[in-house]
Amino acid sequence: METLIDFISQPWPWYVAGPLIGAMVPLLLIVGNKAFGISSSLRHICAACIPAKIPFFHYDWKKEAWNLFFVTGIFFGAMIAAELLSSPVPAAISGNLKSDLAQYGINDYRSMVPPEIFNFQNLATLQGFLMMIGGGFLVGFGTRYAGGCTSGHSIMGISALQVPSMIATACFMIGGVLMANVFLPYILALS
Amino acid sequence: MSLSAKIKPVGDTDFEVRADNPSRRGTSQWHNVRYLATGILFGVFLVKSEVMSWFRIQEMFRFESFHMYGVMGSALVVGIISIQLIKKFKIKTLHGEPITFDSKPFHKGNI
Repeated sequence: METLIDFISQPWPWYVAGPLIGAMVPLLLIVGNKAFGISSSLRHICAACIPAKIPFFHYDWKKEAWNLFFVTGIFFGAMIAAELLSSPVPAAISGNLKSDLAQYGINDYRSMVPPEIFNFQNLATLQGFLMMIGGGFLVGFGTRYAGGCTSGHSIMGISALQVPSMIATACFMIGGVLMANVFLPYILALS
Repeated sequence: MSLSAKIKPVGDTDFEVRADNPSRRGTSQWHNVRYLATGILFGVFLVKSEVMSWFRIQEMFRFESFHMYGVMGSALVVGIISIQLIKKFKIKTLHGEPITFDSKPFHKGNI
């Protein structure tokens, strides 16, 4: 048992992780004819909490309750992986990125996000506010405006060979490349 | 006149909502435990694959590592092949219901 846990706890190479993620698509379809997607849960939560005056939130969210269970499961699964199956070595990040980030005082690679930026004290600074609150707002707005996130469009949509999902994914990539290469250095330089 | 009759439903603007096409059976809370379990599995995959990592995402957009492209590419190969197999062999759900696919209409929000 211990050797099995040790085995799972190693960092997973892409050719193991990718097919497992892809297998979520048929798994959800076979379990109950569900289209794989995550960000729609944000909409269901709004629909459940906000009075029905807003047409966008006026649908029977209870029929989509499975999605809220799925997302709750992700929370616990991620917790299990982070606490019990965590890798003894940090992610093998490229040296280029590391030397660039070191210029902004980011050197801690033990976690999923740099603790130097994503912490409660930093929330009160312009940089922290932009990255945590601004970023969160854009995730919420963008996923609903595009009708899906990297799960619903890039994995489920492209798996079903949907052209709008391919267009959306190409645009996610363009947006990400612009942010990471053009805008992020300015945001990291803020304090 | 009920509220639902007055307000026009807008479910068709969102690709992830399938409220019009719910499973007839398997909507009880007990069945939802299955989705909780599926979610737990996926949560473990997300963390162990490192696709949730801010560093991995930066690396991807700077084209400095193959990791993320490998994960997404192989996930898509598995996803595409399995959907084709489900369609070809008309595989049913655990409840014996047919599996359906909605096509996603294009709208400007995709860009």
